[in-house]
Amino acid sequence: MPSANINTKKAVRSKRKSKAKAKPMTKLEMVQKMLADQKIIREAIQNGIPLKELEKTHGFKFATLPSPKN
Amino acid sequence: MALNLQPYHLQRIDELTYGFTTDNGIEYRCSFLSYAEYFINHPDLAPYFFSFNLDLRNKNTKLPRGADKRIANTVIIIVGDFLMSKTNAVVYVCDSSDDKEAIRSRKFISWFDYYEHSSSDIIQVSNNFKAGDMIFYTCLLVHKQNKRFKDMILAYLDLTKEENK
Repeated sequence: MPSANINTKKAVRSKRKSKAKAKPMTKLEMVQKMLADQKIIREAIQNGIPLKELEKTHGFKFATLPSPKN
Repeated sequence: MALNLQPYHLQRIDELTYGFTTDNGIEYRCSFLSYAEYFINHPDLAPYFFSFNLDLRNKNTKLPRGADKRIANTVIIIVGDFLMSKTNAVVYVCDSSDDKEAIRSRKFISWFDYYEHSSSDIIQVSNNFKAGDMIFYTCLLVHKQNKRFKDMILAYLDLTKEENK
């Protein structure tokens, strides 16, 4: 359908545009973000906030852990 | 009396978190956060990189003097089991908020060196690098039988190399 086609083209164009705008992080920014994320996790743990919440609020993605063998 | 070096009993707090309590009653929590976003130059490997987080459950915990080797052994078990998938790799970045990052780095690295026998399946690569005015302490852990371990080491070294000025 022509209209759907136009929408798809628009979506692709806008995706390309946003990709082109994304500036890569410097090493300093990268490590600062890593450490800031660590701090968010530490504070969540100390405040009894489940990490699942951080996935929703901060977009974090944690590995799902199996039951420990012990 | 023989020294007890057994790992602490691990508890699954929820699907994303492990926990254990030391003989001194200190509670720790562990998790693995995806680091895929930092490996955009290696999209095929990116989903398999995680950071390892080891945090105290209580903010005002006073840590006793002296090393508790059971903590080291517990961490080796947690990280070792995680790497047993033979697809994942773990990047450890030392927290620098209290200026103890160098000590922390030495300790973490020594855990996997000291327990050479139990961690013989794990390759450890450490790379410290300068960014801005700071030195950052990092290391990579990957299973020897991970089919892509060489690519993962190269991707990690690429990530942690210093920027050209």
